[in-house]
Amino acid sequence: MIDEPGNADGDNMPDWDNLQDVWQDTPPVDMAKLVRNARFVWWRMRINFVAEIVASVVGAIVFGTLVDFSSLPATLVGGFGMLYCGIAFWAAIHIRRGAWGSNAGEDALLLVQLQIRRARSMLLYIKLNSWLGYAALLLVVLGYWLLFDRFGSFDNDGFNHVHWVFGVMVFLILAFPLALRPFVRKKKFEISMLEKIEAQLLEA
Amino acid sequence: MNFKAVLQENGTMLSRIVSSYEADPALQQELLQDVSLALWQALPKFRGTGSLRGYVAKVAQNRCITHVGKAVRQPKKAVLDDNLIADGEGLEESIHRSQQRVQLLAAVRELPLSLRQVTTLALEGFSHKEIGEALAISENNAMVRFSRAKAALKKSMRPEHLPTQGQSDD
Repeated sequence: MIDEPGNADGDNMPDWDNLQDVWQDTPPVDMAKLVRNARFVWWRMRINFVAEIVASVVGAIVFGTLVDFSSLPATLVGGFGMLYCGIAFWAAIHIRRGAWGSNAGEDALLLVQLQIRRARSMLLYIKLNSWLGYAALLLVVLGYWLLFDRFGSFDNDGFNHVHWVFGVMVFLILAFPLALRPFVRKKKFEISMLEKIEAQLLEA
Repeated sequence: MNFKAVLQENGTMLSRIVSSYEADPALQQELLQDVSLALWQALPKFRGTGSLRGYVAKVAQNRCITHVGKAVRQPKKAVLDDNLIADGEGLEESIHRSQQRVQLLAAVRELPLSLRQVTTLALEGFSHKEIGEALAISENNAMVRFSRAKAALKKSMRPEHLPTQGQSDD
């Protein structure tokens, strides 16, 4: 308990000047490390964004080459794949909307509201990805249909690796939504906390 | 505007503001890094209205407010800092000052958000006018909030509200 004799308030409340001294008596901070980290995160955000955009464009091109209007399964696989990559392209941009330059210099309320919108966008993105994943199970079926359409049968050791690839795909598609449940719960909690802060700032 | 120079000049202020929003030392480091990134991105937008120091404090406050919404945690025990033993200061004095700081931080963290913002800026030495500019409120409003903040801090720092000796230790 800070207990200074003769303080201005005449009770146990410490003198304000003393509080300021106590407050400002802090150990030094490693500034060079902070600068390095800020630069690193800034570049990482941009590199991740470019990588996602390039992957979705390349994916769309690859799926586009599969489209063959003389073969229904080929057209469906190619078309669905292009659609999937298009949605990934849109999501990569939409999620980061407003994230490039910091709005932290603006009003705290606006910033909190922006964070709420971003958190809701993230939940929407996860939900969308989960549904697209389930729809991608259809890709597996279409993929087998396409292979059967081209090769006639699966009685070939060369198809073992195809079975493995599709098997891993199915596992990941089903495991993805389950693995993200703790993250989704955390985001929902974050939204509720941010909404409480928003209410406090609106009252002030 | 040189980011490194701004950070050099205001880094300890930023760490104090971060401490008023986050008790966990590990999360403080993360939040401080988030604040420094936010500052780097926000600095080009500074138009010279008000002081640069006030703008830096505002960026830090705003970033910390959104962090409060994200953290899912129980109140952590405050840790006495081992680095506070200054030259010429005895061990007992250093421990006493360290405990005072822990208690002050705990009291500030208990304040409602609007009062905590004013309190941290006032403790940093900002005038009512500067606090008003940083928080986008009138100088009069800043004075009123400051009075309420002092009263709330007084209540928080009564002996029955402060953490005991055992709770402050690591």
